[in-house]
Amino acid sequence: MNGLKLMYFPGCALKSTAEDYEKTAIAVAEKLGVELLELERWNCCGVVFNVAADAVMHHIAAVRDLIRAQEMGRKLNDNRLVTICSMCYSTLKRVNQIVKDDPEKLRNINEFMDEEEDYEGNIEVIHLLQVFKDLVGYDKIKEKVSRRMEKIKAAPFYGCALLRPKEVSIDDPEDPKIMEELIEALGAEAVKFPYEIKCCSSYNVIYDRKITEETAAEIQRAAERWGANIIVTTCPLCHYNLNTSKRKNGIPTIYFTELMAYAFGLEETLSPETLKIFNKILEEI
Amino acid sequence: MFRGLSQKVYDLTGINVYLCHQCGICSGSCPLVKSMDIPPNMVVRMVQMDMNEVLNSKTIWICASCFNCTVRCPRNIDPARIINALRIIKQREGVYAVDLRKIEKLEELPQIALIAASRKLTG
Repeated sequence: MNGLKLMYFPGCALKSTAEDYEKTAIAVAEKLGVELLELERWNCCGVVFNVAADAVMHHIAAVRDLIRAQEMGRKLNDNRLVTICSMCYSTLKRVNQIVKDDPEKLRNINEFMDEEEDYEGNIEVIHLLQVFKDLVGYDKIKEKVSRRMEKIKAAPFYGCALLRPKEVSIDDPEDPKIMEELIEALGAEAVKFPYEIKCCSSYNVIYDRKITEETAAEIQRAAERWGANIIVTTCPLCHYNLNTSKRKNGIPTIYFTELMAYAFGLEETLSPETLKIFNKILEEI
Repeated sequence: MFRGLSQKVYDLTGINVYLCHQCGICSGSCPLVKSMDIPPNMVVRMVQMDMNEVLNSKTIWICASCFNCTVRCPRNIDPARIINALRIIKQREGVYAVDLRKIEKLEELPQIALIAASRKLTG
């Protein structure tokens, strides 16, 4: 397992609002013997997938990224592209699937982008959670935990992009366990709650902020009622939206890699705000 | 079999809306139904009935394509995709749900939300 090198696609959020997510993802992966190599070149994946059958143009950004992965993958002799942001995962995975399943669409896109090499459809898009579960294994993760975590009651929040539609789901779309198992491997208490697969309202934060504030408050309240003191997510938009809830003293939402970094004793990779969240939890109990 | 709206939805998505038997699980599963003016199952019914008013509903813009209904639909007709198709019909007429130039505190909003909104809520 040591010395595994995997290419990864960061996307816009990890370079702006979710810098802590990228920093902790790279650090915890390294601790587990996985070197995450950023694609040498990349562009925005498009964030959302266009469902219209004739919307070929909307898939081009994602296909360009898959070509970048194809180029770099040749050098590494590996076809796996790791995503960290849920929305990048979903968009790249769905576009990849659609061009693999529809050779005519792929041919049209390749012909349109005649300045690029053709995309051959051989890249496999995976999520970092899958790397930790399937390539590293939870036993190895357990070995790296250096902190007592039992006071942390973490509610995994999956949101939509990792689980739906089911063709691209990383787990059972109705009853996912992948984050719960990870949280338990870290020695914290996993709080499975009924809203774990709910949508955070996504880009409604632009359309009508009230919808997002209400949705976020509902999710927070449910997690609290089931006994959580923290919500753990994989998605920078869920992270923003859930922390946008107007409730006073609502429980905070952090990235799963931040929980891992804390468990592994990698405090130096955590922001002062996130460290404060953990310290507060430990003080309160 | 198809006419008007149901034809347009079919052309955009390949979905036959007449397979819907109005069980309502889409509306029961929708996390944003409270904010909608027309629940998802009724949107599908209005497409079946070729009622163009559905194109003026708030629902077609509020749906966040979370695909909860898609996963649960017993007829596999993908209500989220039907709603998205209605939105695309409006977008192609030049109707958008937000004016990106008028968004307040633009610099405080995350890029991920702005890009998603610009792709889903504008042409």
